[in-house]
Amino acid sequence: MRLRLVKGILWFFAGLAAVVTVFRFFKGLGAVTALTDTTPWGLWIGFDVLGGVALAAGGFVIAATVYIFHMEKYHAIVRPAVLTAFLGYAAVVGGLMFDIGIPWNIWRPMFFWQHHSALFEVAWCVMLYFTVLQLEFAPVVLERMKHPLLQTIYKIVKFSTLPLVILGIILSTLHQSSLGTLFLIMPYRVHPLWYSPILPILFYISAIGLGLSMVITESMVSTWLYKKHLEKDLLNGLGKTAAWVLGLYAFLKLGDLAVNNKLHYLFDGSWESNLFIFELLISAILPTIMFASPKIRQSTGGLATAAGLAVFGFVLNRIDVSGLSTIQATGSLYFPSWAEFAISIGIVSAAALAFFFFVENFFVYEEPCGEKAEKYDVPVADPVTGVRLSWSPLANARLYSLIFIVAVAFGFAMLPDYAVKGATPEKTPVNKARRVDGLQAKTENAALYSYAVFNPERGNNPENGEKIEMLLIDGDRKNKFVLFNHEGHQAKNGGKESCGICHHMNKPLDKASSCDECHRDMFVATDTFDHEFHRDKLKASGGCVKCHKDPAQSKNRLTTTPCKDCHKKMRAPNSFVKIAEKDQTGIAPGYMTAMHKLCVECHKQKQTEKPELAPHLARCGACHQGFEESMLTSLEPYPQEESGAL
Amino acid sequence: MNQMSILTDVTLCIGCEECVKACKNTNGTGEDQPWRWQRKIDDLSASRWTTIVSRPEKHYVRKQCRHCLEPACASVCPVGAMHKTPEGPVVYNPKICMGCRYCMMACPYGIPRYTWSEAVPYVRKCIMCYDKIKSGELQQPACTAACPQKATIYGNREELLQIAHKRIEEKPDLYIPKVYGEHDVGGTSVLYLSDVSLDFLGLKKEMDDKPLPPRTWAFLKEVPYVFVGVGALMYGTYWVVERRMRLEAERRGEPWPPSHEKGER
Repeated sequence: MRLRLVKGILWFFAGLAAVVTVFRFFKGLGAVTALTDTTPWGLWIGFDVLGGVALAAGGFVIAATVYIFHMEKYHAIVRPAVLTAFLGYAAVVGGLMFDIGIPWNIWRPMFFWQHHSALFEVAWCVMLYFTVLQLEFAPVVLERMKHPLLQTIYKIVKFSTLPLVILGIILSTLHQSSLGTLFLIMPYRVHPLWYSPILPILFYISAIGLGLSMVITESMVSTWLYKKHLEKDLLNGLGKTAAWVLGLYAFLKLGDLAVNNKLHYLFDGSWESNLFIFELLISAILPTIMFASPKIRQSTGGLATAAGLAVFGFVLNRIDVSGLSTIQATGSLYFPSWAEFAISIGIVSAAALAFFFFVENFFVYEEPCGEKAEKYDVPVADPVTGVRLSWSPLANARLYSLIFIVAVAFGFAMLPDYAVKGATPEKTPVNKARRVDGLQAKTENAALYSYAVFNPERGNNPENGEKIEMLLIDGDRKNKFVLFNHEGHQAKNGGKESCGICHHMNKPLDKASSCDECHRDMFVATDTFDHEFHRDKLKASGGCVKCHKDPAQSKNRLTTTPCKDCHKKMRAPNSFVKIAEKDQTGIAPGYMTAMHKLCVECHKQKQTEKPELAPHLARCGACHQGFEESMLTSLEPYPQEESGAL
Repeated sequence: MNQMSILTDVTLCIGCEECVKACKNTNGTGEDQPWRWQRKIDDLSASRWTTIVSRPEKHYVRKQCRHCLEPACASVCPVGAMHKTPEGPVVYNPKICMGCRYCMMACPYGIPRYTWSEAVPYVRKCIMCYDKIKSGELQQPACTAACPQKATIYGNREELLQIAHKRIEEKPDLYIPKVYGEHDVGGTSVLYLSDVSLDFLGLKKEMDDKPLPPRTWAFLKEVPYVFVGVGALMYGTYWVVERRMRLEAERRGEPWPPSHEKGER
């Protein structure tokens, strides 16, 4: 029953991962993960790859114990340890296929040699070691095959056990440490507590300790699941070795901090220092103490706790090095999306299900395991009703596929929009306009406040309480405002009864009509470009192609050289609406002010300098209809029209 | 060392972003959009390979790939998709990239960006218009050609360094007496002159002058020795232990090897 429950849960996670897989490959990494340009490696690298490789270290440690050191009593756990390692590496490769952007190029390191890249070395070692593990595990499958050819292969593989084991140890030594080498090139990204010139050695030693802890954990879990006899004597011995290895690790880690003068980081109270102390406690110090005590090693609970702490602690260590310790440098907070968790857990679930499959069908332990009820029984029909009562293997399969399909449906329903439709750019919410009184709250805004409520036309004085009701239009809440004179608009539109003009006649989803619905001329092109003048002037130096670069293209605004490309000095100071100072409050010039202050001022000045250009420089008629061009050469203030046609 | 380089003088930059526009048009990087994975809209992105960073008091600093003399990104690439050309620029070959993003992790300036929104994503960064200069289409990178202030100029690294030091000599009160990029992380091909500190361009404020790739190489160069050494050690241990056990078994008169090691269950 407990086996069925565990398997059911695993199938559920596998189903969830299956859904995410589809969208990962069709919609891309951006749609499914929470990765960013500043955090390009996330959960899949930290947990699946770095954690997975380290967790699978038990394979080479136990193989060395038995075949090199001839400790025959551990022979019983060689096969489960090798199987765990084999499935662990399969999970690592599976996780990589999700994480790397172009997985069908994963074979490239085989042909493009880059011997100075740590990742190149890891790729080769993992690839070779995965093959070695397959060969090491092959006898378990082949011994049950009757075909003569397969029997010959079996004998060859069996004969080459020793070279395979030695090769496996070499490759493991190389890539377990090289995973640490990966981070040597990031001294500025990884926090000083985790960055160390001996990172490869730390990774290697912790992999041995973690491998031993993982074998203990895995033995205890399968004992519990299959109700087998616990090989306590063996686990006791493993625990004793683990105590030495983990102790050495803790010693090296602290010694490294001391040698490199980094001990002060340990107690500076930052969250990194707390995380580091927590990680070191649960990964090495506590398990060392527990494994070192014979009394705790004898108790099932003690052994399970110590091994569990070490496993959790070292997975945390890998996640710290690859992710959490980089936050202080990049300043970007990354938390995996649930789709990333789904893939990570799903891959582990699939590996566990494969583990159960091998354990139940091959001689991984002394004999194939599995509850009696799960083996095939002839279905017994109830003599009266004809209903079949017993569970058959098929019934189990039915249960699991039902769970799988439910998980797929559930996963699909839970997928966020952006994962289904593909990644979309962020939407900036447009916030409501605020009352100008908001500015008053902060003293540094006092000047802005008085500017905003002071109306020079009427000459009112805010200090006497003569204020105008101004609204601050600041949709993205970045404290860059446009002022909106609500009172003035109300007065101009006809007093209290005129609200409806803006507030009731607007479109369904708007709160108020937008400015341009009345100010139709807001988007009128106001250029004063004199085509004939330019044509005559440029005739000598190239003619049309000077501006219309490609004569074959239709001549329009998009295909033509913009003014500022030639008139480099035409730009007025401050004419760029560019946020020069972040986090600083500012009021943008209004539409009329922008036109008159930024363009007209300069044009007027030019008029005096070059009177002959006057008609070309300022043509107020472009905006102000009804003006005669002849009026424009004078520098007098423009007469105001009462109707307010602007 | 005849490397082509860019010198950017922060004191001359007016922040007009002509270089950004020229870069976008020349390299066809596409429209900028506020993606979730970008730091902010005006920072670098897969569609914006150079950008103007506003600093307090009207200082504008152009951010772009530094084209290090010993680039970390090229040294970590397991397939050599990222590589340093003899002419200076660090360029990227999307055809062999497998998308491990190690270059993005390794860069001390955090420059390479990723096209996260694509189903087949690639790394994107400034390549100093290497392809277009090589084919003769351009005489110099689009950004330096577009600068109306000559704040960013293109040339030989040695000559640009001379120009930079000359400018510092002429106006010692204006400039910080240091050419940014002359020695940083082993030297970069993109140099800066500035009157404000440019420490913010790197991942850490203090980065020393030692190049990064040797840090990895210190361990990787041991790989052949580890391979042979561990192999010999393991076989030696096997031989010693096996011999001792065989002698022990012979002394006791037991058969060797013991029956359970012959392979039958």
